[in-house]
Amino acid sequence: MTAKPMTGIRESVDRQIGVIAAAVKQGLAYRFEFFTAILGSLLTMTLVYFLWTAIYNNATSMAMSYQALITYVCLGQAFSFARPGQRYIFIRIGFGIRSGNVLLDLVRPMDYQLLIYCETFGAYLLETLLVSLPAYVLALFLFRINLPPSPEAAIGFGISILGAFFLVSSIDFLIGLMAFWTMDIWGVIWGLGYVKIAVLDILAGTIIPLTLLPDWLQAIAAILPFRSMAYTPLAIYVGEITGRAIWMNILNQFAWGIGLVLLTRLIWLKARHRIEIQGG
Amino acid sequence: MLYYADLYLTYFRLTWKARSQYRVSFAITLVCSIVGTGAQLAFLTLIFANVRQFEGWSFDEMLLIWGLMVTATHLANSLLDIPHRISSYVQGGNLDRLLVRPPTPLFQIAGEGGITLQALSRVMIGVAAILTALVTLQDKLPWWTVFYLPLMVISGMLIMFSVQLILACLTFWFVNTFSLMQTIGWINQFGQYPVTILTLPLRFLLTWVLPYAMMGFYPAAFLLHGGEYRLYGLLAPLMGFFLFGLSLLVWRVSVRRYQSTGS
Repeated sequence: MTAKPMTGIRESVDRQIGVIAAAVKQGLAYRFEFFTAILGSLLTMTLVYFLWTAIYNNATSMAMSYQALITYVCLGQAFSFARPGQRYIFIRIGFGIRSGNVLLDLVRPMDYQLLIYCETFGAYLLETLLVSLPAYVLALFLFRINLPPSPEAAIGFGISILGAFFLVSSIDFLIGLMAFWTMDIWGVIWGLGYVKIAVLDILAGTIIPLTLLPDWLQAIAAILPFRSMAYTPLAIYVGEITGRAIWMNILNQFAWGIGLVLLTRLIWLKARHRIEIQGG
Repeated sequence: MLYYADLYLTYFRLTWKARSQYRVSFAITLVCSIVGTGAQLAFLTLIFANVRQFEGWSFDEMLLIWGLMVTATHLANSLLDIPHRISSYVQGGNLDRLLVRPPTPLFQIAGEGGITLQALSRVMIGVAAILTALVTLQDKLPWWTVFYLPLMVISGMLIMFSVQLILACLTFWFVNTFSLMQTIGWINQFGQYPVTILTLPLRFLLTWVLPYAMMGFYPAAFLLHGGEYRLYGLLAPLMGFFLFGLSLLVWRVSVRRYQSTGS
C-alpha cells in the first residue's frame, strides 16, 4: 500500500468536493439514461398505485388511510432508496478489480473508500435532482399524492434521505468488496445486488409500509438497520412518524449510518490486503 | 437440424468449461437468485396478510398467475437469452463475425452466451409454484389443464422473447437502447397481478401491445373463471407463436440495416 501524504483538512475537503463534482459531470454525459430512469420510476409507481388501490379496496381494515398509503408507496418508487449508487459502486469496484484499474485508484492521494463514497454521493445527488424530484412532481399531479403535512415533516424527510445515503452506500460498498475475494463481478455482485433489492423492498419498507406487515415481521424489521433506509424518510413524510419521534428516528438512522460506515471500514482494511492485480 | 443440435452441444460444452472457472461464485449467484425470487413470493403472501380475497382471487389462484409468469419469463431468459446481448454485438462490431458464418446469427448468439443458469433456477421456483397451486385448485380445473398449461408456458416464453427481440432491434436505429429495454422489461411485473385492477388503457397495453397479461393472467382466468375469458384464453397460446414469427421478421429487416463499426 502506498503511504498517503498528510494533507490539511481544507485540502482534503476540496478534493472531496472535486471528486463529487467530477462524478456529477460524468453522470450528466448520459442524459438519455435519466430520461428512461424517470420513465421507469413512473412505470413502477403506476404499478404500485393500482396494486395498493386494489389491496386497500379489498381489505376490511387497514392501519393507514388511503391517501397516506398511496403517497407512501409512490414516494417509495420516486426516491428509489434501494438503488442509489448500485450501478455506480458495483461497476466501479468490480470492473476496477477485473481490469486492474483499481490500482490507479489506490495510488491516488485520497482514501479509496472515501473516493468511492464521494463519487457515489455525486451520482446520488444527480439522481435525486434529475430523476427523483421530477418523478415526485409528476406523482403529485398524476397520482395526487399528499404534500408533507407539516414543515417539520418536510425537513425531517430531507434530512433522512441524506441519512439513508450512508446506509445504502455502505451496503453497496460491502457487496462491492466481495469482488476482492471472488474476483468475479457479474455473477456474485449482481446476484447480491438482486438480493439486496429484494430484502430492502420488504424489510426497508420500500414497496410495503412496515406498519402493514404481520407483527412478528415488524418486530424483526424494527431491530434491523434496513428500516432506516426507506421506512424512516417515507413514514416521516406521510405523517406516520410525528413530533419528537421524527428526531428520535433520525438520530437512530444516523447512529446506524455511522455504525455501518465503521464496519465497512474494518472490512475494507482487511480486503485491501487481498488485492491481486490481474494482467496490466 | 442435426447440424444445429451438434453445434449447440459444442457451444454448451465450451460455455460450461468457461463457467466452471468460477465455481464458488456460481453457487453464490444461484442462491442469490433463489432468495430474490423467494422475496417476491413473500410479497404475495404479505398482500394476503391484509386481504382475504384480492379482486376475487384467492392466494392459490394468484400463485398460479405468478408461477406461470415466472416460469415463462425465466425460461426465455435462460434458454433464449439473446435479445439483451444483441446491442453489445452491434456496438462492438462483432456482428460481422456472426454474419459471415453459416449458422443463423441468432442461434450463434444463443450458443456463445450459453444457458443462463440463474434464470433456470427461477424457472424451478416458478414450476414449484404452479404445482403447489394446482394441488389446491385441482377440483376447480378442467381435465385439459394438463395440455393447456405446458402449451401456455411455451407460448409465454415466446411472448417474452419476441417482445424483447423486437425492442432489441431498435439498437440498429439508435445507439443505446439497453436502458430503454430494461425499463420496458419492468412492465412485465404488471403481468403478475390480475389486469382488472388497472385502468382500461393499461389493460389494453398489456393485452395487445406488450401482451404480458397473456402469459399468466388470461390463461389462469380462463381455467378458473372460464366464460368471459374464453376468447383471451384461447388466443393466449397462439399469441406466442404469432409474436415469435413477427419478431423474426423484424429481426431480418433490421439486420439488413446493420453497418459495421469498421474497427
